[in-house]
Amino acid sequence: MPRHSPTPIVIERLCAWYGAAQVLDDVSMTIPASEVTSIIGPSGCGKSTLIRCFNRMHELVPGSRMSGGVRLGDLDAYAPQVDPMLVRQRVGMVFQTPTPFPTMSIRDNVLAGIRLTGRPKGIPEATVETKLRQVALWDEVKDHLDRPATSLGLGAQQRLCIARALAVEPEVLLLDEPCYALDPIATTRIEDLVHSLRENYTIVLVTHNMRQAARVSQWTAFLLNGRLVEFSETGELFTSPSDKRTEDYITGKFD
Amino acid sequence: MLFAIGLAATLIPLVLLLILGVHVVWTGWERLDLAFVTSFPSRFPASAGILPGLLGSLWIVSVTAIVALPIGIGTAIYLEEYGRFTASPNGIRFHLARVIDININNLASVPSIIYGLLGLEIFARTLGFGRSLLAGGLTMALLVLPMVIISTREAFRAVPRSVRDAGLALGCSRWQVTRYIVLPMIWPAVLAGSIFAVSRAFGEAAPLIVLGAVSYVDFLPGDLSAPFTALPIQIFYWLSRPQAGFEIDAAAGIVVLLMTLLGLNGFAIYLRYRYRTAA
Repeated sequence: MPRHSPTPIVIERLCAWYGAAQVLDDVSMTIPASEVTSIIGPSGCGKSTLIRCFNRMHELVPGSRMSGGVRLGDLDAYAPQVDPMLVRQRVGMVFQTPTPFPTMSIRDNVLAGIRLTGRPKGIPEATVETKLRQVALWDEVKDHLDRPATSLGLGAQQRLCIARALAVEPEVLLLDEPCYALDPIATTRIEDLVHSLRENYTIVLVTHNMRQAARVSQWTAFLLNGRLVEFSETGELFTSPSDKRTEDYITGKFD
Repeated sequence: MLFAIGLAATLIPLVLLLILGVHVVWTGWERLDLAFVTSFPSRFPASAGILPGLLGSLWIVSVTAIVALPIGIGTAIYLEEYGRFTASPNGIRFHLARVIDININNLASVPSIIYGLLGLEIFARTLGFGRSLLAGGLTMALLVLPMVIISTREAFRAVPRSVRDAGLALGCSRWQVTRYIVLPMIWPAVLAGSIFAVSRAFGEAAPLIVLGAVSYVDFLPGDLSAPFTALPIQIFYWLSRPQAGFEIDAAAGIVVLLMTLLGLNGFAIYLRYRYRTAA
């Protein structure tokens, strides 16, 4: 269970730049807690940048800039006294390609975040089991926790990365096209996993795949050229979009 | 056609080297025994040995490694993990990093004798270390520093950004990511590059000649302020002697030098291979 209860993410007038190029333009939205929100849109529309602003990863890119605000519950993520490392501990993130730490075993990967950030912890073995069970990986790996994490298949690696992110006990989980590198079976397992985690975390899923958005999320945001075009309940967005551009995109008129 | 040229360009030097190597071993064979390695030089070729030269070289290499590796690896960490990922493309730090970058690459191609002159002026004269082991080791450290930095940076560049992002996204600091995630992935490559660089200090003679390594040393260096000789210097002076016997000694010395260098580089290649298969 998360240390904090899941919190909504409130985004206010968010703009972001890489050098002179503006990638997000005045995005405001409130992402609800304990639900899955998908962010869809064509390549380069700013989906990844948007969620990288939630955990202050955007500012790590040299030459990047942002304005506006992001609040995680009562925490103002961009308040001057707030340590970005603390924000990142409260907002877990999983990337396009699985990124297990190659020199670490499966067990050490799960524990990496807790160990490195010096979090007060329970019994490590218990954490490893709890987290691997949470991502439905325990039965598969319990007999060889000391093997290198890279010995796992890609789908299992990605679930391990989710377990590693959850071990730090975040309130929010950001998934940046988590199934990008996976086959359909592994994709289904990740989707099931997202579904089972929903109640205890605020989950934001960036995806290219509109059917995936429709399958796993309760809310969907459509982003185009850095602007938020439409944000509504998933069923509504896909069946009766209120904006012509959303309709064109979901009916495949452009991508 | 190009393939044939490439093959010739590879094989001709290799064959020539092999012939030279065989010739050297053939010439020096009669002197290659334990006594040769454990004796002092002598005016009689048949009883001369390389002990002071060998020890002098080992001392110099140690000083070089102790000074050049921490500074070189530290510089590479700064330039790769901090400069590259944190400097804004318009900021002063970015341009500073570029200037350092270009200069390191230039320094790597400066002839070693220039480093000898630099060491003579700075370490031996200005800082007053004299013509000592310390001055020799520090000069060699300057010489290999750019190589250490360049090879370490290459190792860091082989690590994909996504791995660093994953660590940072967990809430780790830049240093924690470098120390506990990136470095463990590449330390064999860093070590291999360091061995390649430091082994150059073992075989290099020119800076030490300028710096005033002595040719005839009949004592073992007791501390870093002692005058010294080094193996390549010893060989160089033997070759300039008129007696034929010293030519044999020189050949035997070359064999010891080459075997040591081959051993070091072989170990570095092994480490690199291990690293490639692991990653």
